[in-house]
This record gives sequence, structure tokens and C-alpha cells, in this order.
Amino acid sequence: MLKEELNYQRALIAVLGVASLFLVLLGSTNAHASTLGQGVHVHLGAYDPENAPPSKYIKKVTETKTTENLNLRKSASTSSQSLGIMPKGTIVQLTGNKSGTWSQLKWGSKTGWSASQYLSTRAYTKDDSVRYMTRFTSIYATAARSTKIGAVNFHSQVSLLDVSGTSSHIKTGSYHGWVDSKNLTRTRPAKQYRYVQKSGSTYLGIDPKTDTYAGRVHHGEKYEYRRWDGTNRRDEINVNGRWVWTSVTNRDYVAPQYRYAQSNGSVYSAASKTNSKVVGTISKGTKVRWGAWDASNRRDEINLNGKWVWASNTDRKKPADPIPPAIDVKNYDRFTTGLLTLRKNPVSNSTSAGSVKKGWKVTVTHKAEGGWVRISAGSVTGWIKGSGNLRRHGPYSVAVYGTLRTGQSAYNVMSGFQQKNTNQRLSSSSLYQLWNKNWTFLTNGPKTVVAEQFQYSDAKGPAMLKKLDIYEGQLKYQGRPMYTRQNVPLNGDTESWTYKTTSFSEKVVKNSGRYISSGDFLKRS
Amino acid sequence: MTKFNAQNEQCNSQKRKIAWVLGSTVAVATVSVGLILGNNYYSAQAGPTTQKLQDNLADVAKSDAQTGEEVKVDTQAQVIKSLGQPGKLTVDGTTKPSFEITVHSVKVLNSCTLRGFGEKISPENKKFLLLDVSAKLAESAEKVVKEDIALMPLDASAFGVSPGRNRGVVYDLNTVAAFSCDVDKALDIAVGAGDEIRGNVILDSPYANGQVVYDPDKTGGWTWSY
Repeated sequence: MLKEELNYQRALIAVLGVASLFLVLLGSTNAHASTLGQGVHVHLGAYDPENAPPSKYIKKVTETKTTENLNLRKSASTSSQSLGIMPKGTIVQLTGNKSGTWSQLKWGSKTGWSASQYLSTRAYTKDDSVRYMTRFTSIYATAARSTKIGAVNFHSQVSLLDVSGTSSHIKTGSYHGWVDSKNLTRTRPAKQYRYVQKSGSTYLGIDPKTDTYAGRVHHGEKYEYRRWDGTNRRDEINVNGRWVWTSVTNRDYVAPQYRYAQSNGSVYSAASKTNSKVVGTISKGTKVRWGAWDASNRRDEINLNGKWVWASNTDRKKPADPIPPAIDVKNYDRFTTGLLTLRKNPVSNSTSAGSVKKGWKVTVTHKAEGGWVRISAGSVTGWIKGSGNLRRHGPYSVAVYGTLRTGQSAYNVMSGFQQKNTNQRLSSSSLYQLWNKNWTFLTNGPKTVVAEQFQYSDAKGPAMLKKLDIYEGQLKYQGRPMYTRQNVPLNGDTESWTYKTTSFSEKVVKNSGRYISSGDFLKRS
Repeated sequence: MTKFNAQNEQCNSQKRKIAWVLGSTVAVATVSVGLILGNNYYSAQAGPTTQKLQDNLADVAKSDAQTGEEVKVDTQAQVIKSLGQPGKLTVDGTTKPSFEITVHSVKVLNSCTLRGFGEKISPENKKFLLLDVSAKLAESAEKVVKEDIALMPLDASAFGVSPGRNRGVVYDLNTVAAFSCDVDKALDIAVGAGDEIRGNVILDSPYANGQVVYDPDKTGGWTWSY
């Protein structure tokens, strides 16, 4: 910006000659703080805002309003005909004629008289001069716009003084002069922003050769923008309340990037290994915003606790967590609550060891710190988080112990399952056989009964249970079912549905049936 | 009935006793019996031709204690009944039957619906027989058994079929196919003391026609032609 000001100064010195005697070069730009636009300012006296003519868009206005709902009468008398009632607050125009306590006035197209005491007149200044700049714009000495005297920035608020042709006479915080009218608007334009495409420097001035380093902006950061300088290919952006220039920004959004500390280590004040000092430490696994990579020093610029520092122990990948030891547990069974991806180790970033479908019965064999449990299901073995992923009851798991078992006469009924577990044991049960050799009945008892568990998917389970309810529901004695579907415990500490005697039918079975001591339908004799 | 191993003999002997006890009531009935002979029947006095038959016939009363009608028995020791006519067991010295069973009708089916699943299934033997059966067991039956519950089985395993009168009876009609048929008004698996029930039961028969036999002990029961 400073350079730009100097260019304007030179031009004006050449053109104005003696006028240059009045030039006052300020040590810094924008020395005038003003509510008006921040112009690129050179003190020229005649173009100082103080010397601006009054705005034609700031007017003194006299306004008369009704203070009550008020009759407008044909003549100055309460007995005169009413031309209408003017609501309270109606703005009217006084004609200046008076008759005693009555004033003549115009209300729309009507002219009449009203009592003066219900009319209030006030005078105020109406400011219609507020305008905003839609872009960085040069300010000229005249409406012909041939001699530049300065410039005004995008988004600046200015005061419109006059209009001549396509030029507008404006007053900024630093000047009054003429600009192209098309760069003015009544409403403040939306702010514009730029994203840092690559971490880099910012400068106080527009010229990279002579200006002063103003700091560093970082990859992915977003800043308010107001001007692009095509000559030097720099954006003017606002960093922490200060307008600076940089060549590393653009319109395109830049997604922030992050790095992880791969080990505990130090962070440094600079990329250089020989010319930097330790300014802190970073712990393994810490995730930080990334700014830049210095290949020669092999350091990342990172934002640690709000400060940009350099580190040599960061990388894109999250470091592997330490693997907690596996603790053997007494095996127990559970059902999966969803599709589970198993991990080779009890850490979240461990590689996959396979997956297990929802509703499968699995065996838990180990546990590890962090709520991890090691499960096996068929040929798949791996680690999952135990909480929320496993449950005791299989909502669509059915345990069978008689003719529905594998290879038995009614096995075909059990089709469509997603998993089958043979050689299971129903807890606290007994098995009885009635005179019909195909009929075995599960009762409460002191031992266990050999069973198989069939797991059905959510899609097939409800229909399968309904079918089995009907299939198993036909055997009755004294009109009451011999079997009902019940939730029963199994030895692996799970619960499944099975078809079991009721308290009523258990008496019938134990009275009239034969106890199968092996608890195994296949070993009945 | 089922075979029993030594380990379970004690409880099992009790469980089958109701059938035995009721069966033995016939043995002490002293009414004359007319036995079917050849194409007809022959009398009990003429004497059966085999020892087994003799043993079985010893359990058969010679006349209906309730009606006095002659009891006709075929060469398979099955008391001959017509559809709708009850077979009875009567305690010696009484006239009122302790147990009655009646086969009212027999329908021959080529297939049935798999209960709950809706699929058509075929018999494992040849035909499904849909029997309309009623049965009644006197309340007094409980007094003659040691168990808490006295009952007479009524499921397919209690039935047999033969291809015709005096022909050998086959059992094992209680196939899974028969069990799996969706039966409207299915008969309870047994009738309990004091109960009178009626319903349908399915048999898986190798014969499309012949005789249905109710013979839970397979020592001689009642037979109905179909």
C-alpha cells in the first residue's frame, strides 16, 4: 500500500507542481482513522476530507405528524365537514395558512384544516449519502477522472457528495474526490475471503522487493480479503486485524491437514536444525494441525496448543497404540449385536481379522485392557470392543434337541439359518420321551440336554419363529399345548429360544414319559 | 408301545400301566366272542390257531358288557368295528366302559400342508389317512393306575393299518410327515381320565384302503374298515 501511495504522489507532483508543496507524506498508511473508507492517503490539502463540499444527499427535512387520530375538515371549524380521519402518526404537509388554532394542510390528495394542537412538527437531517465500495477504486481530482489523487478499498464506507455523469464525488476518511459510480452501492457488500494454499509469508507493503515481513500464514487458513494486485500477484488479506499482502492465498477452499506425533519429542522454534531452539514437547499420538513440511530439515510445521512450531516426529498416520496383553478368561458365549469387524490385536487401528455377521453366536476367550474381548466364531478369530457389540440373548436363535437336530427326521424344517452350533447344552434340563418315539420333551431338570443352536438373520428370524410356533404348537393334551417357545439358558451363558414343556405338560411328560438319562436324543434307546 | 431299558424300567412300567390295566380288564370279561374265520369269522370256542393269538384272544370279551352284543374278533386279534362304532374297555364286573374309542371316518389324502410353513408334503409311506376320532376315558380310570395321571394315547403311534380283514397289521404310521401335517381340529395326543374328546389325527399308511387299527400296546385292539 505504501508503494502505491508513493506512485500517486509522484504523479500528482508532476501534474500539480506547486501543489506538491502541500504534500505531506505520512510515515504509515491509513494514518486517518475514520468511519469512512480507508483511502490510500496523501495529504493534498484541497482533497482532504475536511475540504469537501457538503453532500447533496444530506438534507434538512421538516416533517409534521398527527399526534392523535385527527379529522381533516373542510374549513377551520369543528362544525365543518370532515374530509376523513387521519390516523395518529400520519405525515402531512402544512400549507402555511393558519386560522386561529387551526392549520391548513395537505393529506394525500386532500387539502383541509385540522386543529394545530394535534400536529407536531420537527426538523432533522436526512442522510442519504452512505455508500460502500464494491471494489478497490481510484479516486480522481475531477469528474473527468483523469488525475488520480488516491484510492479507496473494497468494502469501505464512503459519503456520496454529488453525482456527475458516470462519476460520483465521494468523501472517504482521507479524501474527497471522484470515482466511477458503478463501484458504489447503497448496501455493504459481503466480505470476501481467501484460503492459504501453502504456508508462506505476509508483508506490510505491496512490493515484494522493498516491503517488510509481517508474519506467516498457514496452510488451510481463511482470511478476509479486499484486494488483488495483479502486478505483484499478491492478495491483501486481514491477519489479526492488520491488512497485509501475500502471494500464498487464493479463492479455493483448502481442507486443513493434520499430523500425529509418532513418538514423544520436542518441538522447535524454526525448521532449521542448527538455528532453532526447543520451545516445548509433544506426546506420542497427539493430533495437530499441519502447516508445512521442510524437506531439507525434515520437519513439519505444526500448531501445538495454538502456536505454530516445528517438529521432526510427526507424520500423517496415527501411530499404532501399544498392544495391551491378552488375559485368558473362562470361555463364554455371546451373540453379536451387529456386523462386527474383528481386529488382529486389541487396538483400534489394528488390521482386520475378518468379520462376523449380526446375530452370530461367538465364544469369548480372552479380554484386554480397554474393553477388548477376543472372540471366535467358526474359523474367524479376533478382537472387538465388548461393550454394545455382544449380548446374552439371541433374538433369533433357536435351540433344538429332538427330531429337528441335524440329520434327524424333521431337520429340513430348520432351513434358512445363517449359523448353526452343534454340541451345545441346555442348562438345568431333562429330556423325556413319550410313547411316541418321535416325541421328546424338554423339562426342567438337574442335568443338561444336548442341543443345537440355529441363528437366523433379522430378515428371516421373525418369520421363522412364527412358523416354528405353529409347527410346534399342534401337540396338545386336554386342549393345552405340550410345548411353548421359551427363552432358556445354555451352558455357555447364552439364552436361546426353544420349545419346552409348560408346568402343566411337564407333569404329563414326567408321569407318562420315559426319562432319557443321557440328555441326548440321539442316544435314546 | 416303547421298549424300555433296565435303567428306566421302574418309572416306565408305571407309565405304560394305564394301557395295560385297561387292556387287562378285557381279559376278565366273560362274554362269548365270535371270531372271524376265513372270509367270515370264527368263534372263540373253536380255538385260535396260534399260541400268540390265543394269548391275545384271552383278553377279548365274548360280548359287549354294556349292550350284550356279540364281540367279533379277526384273526389278528382285533375286535371288529364299523366306522362310527365304539371300541370299548370294560372293567370286569361292570357294564359301563372305562374307555371308548370311535373312528368315525377315514379320508385318504395324497398330500398335506407342512404346518406353519405352507408347503405341500407327501406321505413317507403311501397315503395320508385323516381319521376323525373320538375317545372317552372314565374318571374312574385314575383309581386303577398308580400314577397321578391316567390317560390313553391317541396319536398316530397308537394306530396301525392292514390291507384288509385278517391281514397283518403294520404300525409305525407316525412318520415325521404325518406329524408335520397341518390338521384342522387336531386330536389331543391322549385322552385323560374324565375327558371325552374328538378330533382329527393323521396316519402315514402304506395302504390306500383296508383297515385302521387302534392298538396302542400292539397286542390286539379294535379295527375299522375304510
